[in-house]
Amino acid sequence: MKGKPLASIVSAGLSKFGKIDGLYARELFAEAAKEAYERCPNLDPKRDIKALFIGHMGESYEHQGHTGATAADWAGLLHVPATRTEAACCSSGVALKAAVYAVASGLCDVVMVGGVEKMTHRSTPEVTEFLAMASDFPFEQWHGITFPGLFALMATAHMHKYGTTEKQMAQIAVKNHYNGSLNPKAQMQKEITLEQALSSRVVAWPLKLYDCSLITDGASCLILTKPELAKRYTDAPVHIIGSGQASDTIGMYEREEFTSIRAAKLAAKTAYEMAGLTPSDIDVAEVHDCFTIAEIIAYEDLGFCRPGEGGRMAENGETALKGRIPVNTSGGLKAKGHPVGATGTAQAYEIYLQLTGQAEKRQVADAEIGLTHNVGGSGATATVHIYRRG
Amino acid sequence: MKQPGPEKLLKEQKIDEEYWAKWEREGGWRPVGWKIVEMNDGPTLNELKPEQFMIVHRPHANFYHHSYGKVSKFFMGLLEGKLYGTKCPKCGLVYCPPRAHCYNPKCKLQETVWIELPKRGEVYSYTVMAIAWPSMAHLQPLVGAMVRIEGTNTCLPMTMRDIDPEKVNIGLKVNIHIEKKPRGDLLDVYATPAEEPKPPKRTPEELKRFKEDMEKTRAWVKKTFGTK
Repeated sequence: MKGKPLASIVSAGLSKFGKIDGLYARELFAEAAKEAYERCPNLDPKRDIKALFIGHMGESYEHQGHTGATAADWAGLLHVPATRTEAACCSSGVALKAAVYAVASGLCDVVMVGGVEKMTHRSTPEVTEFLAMASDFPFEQWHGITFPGLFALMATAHMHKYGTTEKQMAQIAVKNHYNGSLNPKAQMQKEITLEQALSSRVVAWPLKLYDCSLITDGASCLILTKPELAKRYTDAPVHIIGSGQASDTIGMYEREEFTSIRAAKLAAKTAYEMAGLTPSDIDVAEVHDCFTIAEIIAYEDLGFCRPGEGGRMAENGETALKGRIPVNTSGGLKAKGHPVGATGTAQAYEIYLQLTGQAEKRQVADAEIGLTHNVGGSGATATVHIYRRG
Repeated sequence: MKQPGPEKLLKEQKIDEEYWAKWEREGGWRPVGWKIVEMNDGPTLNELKPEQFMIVHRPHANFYHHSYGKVSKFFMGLLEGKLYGTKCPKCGLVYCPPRAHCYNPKCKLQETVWIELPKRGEVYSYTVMAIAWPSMAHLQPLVGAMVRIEGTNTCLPMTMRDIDPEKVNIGLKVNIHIEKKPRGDLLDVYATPAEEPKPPKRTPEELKRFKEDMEKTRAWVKKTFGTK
């Protein structure tokens, strides 16, 4: 079982990320699907694709629910069984897990999995309110602390316990903005300096504007097949060899520790065990940097370093593009953007590019093993997937 | 056999029906404006060309009528200026926010019992919000904290008053207060320091930046709302 491919990615697509005023969510999803079809000429979508799984967080944004059927309709997959998953910012991470179940169970030969969110047309207070639905009602939504505030509570706890600094968090922003500058689909394609990050406006101290991810429109998708069928579609598949998911209390207020995300640690443990790998085997990773502190905590939860050392790891450049283990080569949620429902499979899209040598200016040399880490809300859901070049 | 309903009204703070009805009558959900914009679009980034789109401005709002369910007593307590939590009679865990059932897997959803809690606690973690909810923006910089109430095993989130943001720290003992005119949600609850705060360690550079950030925030509030 260890290291055995569960499912194989044979194609992938990503829409533009950014403020895309003119388009509906479903049109963005069609754009991602079109790229996945074009990358894979041997795929006949209508004949081959047996199910669609799509992550989507909020019907509030466009007053449009029923995203499964809507996405299938716009992706040219009429009549295919379509299932929408919702787990806040982990919606498509969970969709990916469901797609792996569908393929690994033997029930489906080929499935499409993706995610979508259209957010920028709503005002910031509205977006904030919609995102807050990912936390506990009524005890976490109506006490006056914003969503950045919840992650700030984690940041102060981490600073207090381990001596993590604002400068170390800012270094994550600088790194991810640099990577974003190399990604033609990223929302923010400009570098920033450490001073810019540190002197940006405070949102919820210790988090500043540049510690926060973006409000973004975008969509992403992958085509998964049974590993034994992968060569029918491509010479360069990427195998999913570990798939972990876990939950925690919906309220952050009931967690013993604010300095780590337990669901992510549990999901990582499952994924590493399935893959038969350890953290030191990972060549490139996409982690859930909704706030810079979340990336620091991710290093620790994923075992890239010991608890408390995440800040120093960022400071030493170990996760930079040319570092020991490059993290968020796409620019991450910070610079590439964070259309919440699309993020999980957008991370997988980047790993697919990296492991097939298609990441252009941000290519990590000879990357063979990749990892994605997707977190919902303040950590009540997390998924971790591990990938191997085919 | 007994049925759950119908409900019997015991006490009520009436809503202003006019407030909502007026909004519906005057505009409803129809667009109140529109614009036509041009932006680049195309199947890929390499094939973009200008296209026109129409964007409408449509008012949309919700009026939630919801029960606080089996933890209603907590909110009824706030109306009387009291703080309630729940305790599991099996394992002894004390919850505030309350839970009607114990989450300890060993207790298999044991029903908890209500207990009144002291209005004292300790800061478990904190943040200083410089961009708060719009309705609280005039209070910026606003300290938000996870407060562990004496004798409980969880944290109640709340904002703090009478504290210099520079001085708030993890471990600070606090007194918990309930608004004089409670409206029946968690915003009725706030904390104030119960001891002289010991500020967190900051380097001179960090302290300078923090003070500047707070000044900027206060200046913005003054400019936007007049005096604080």
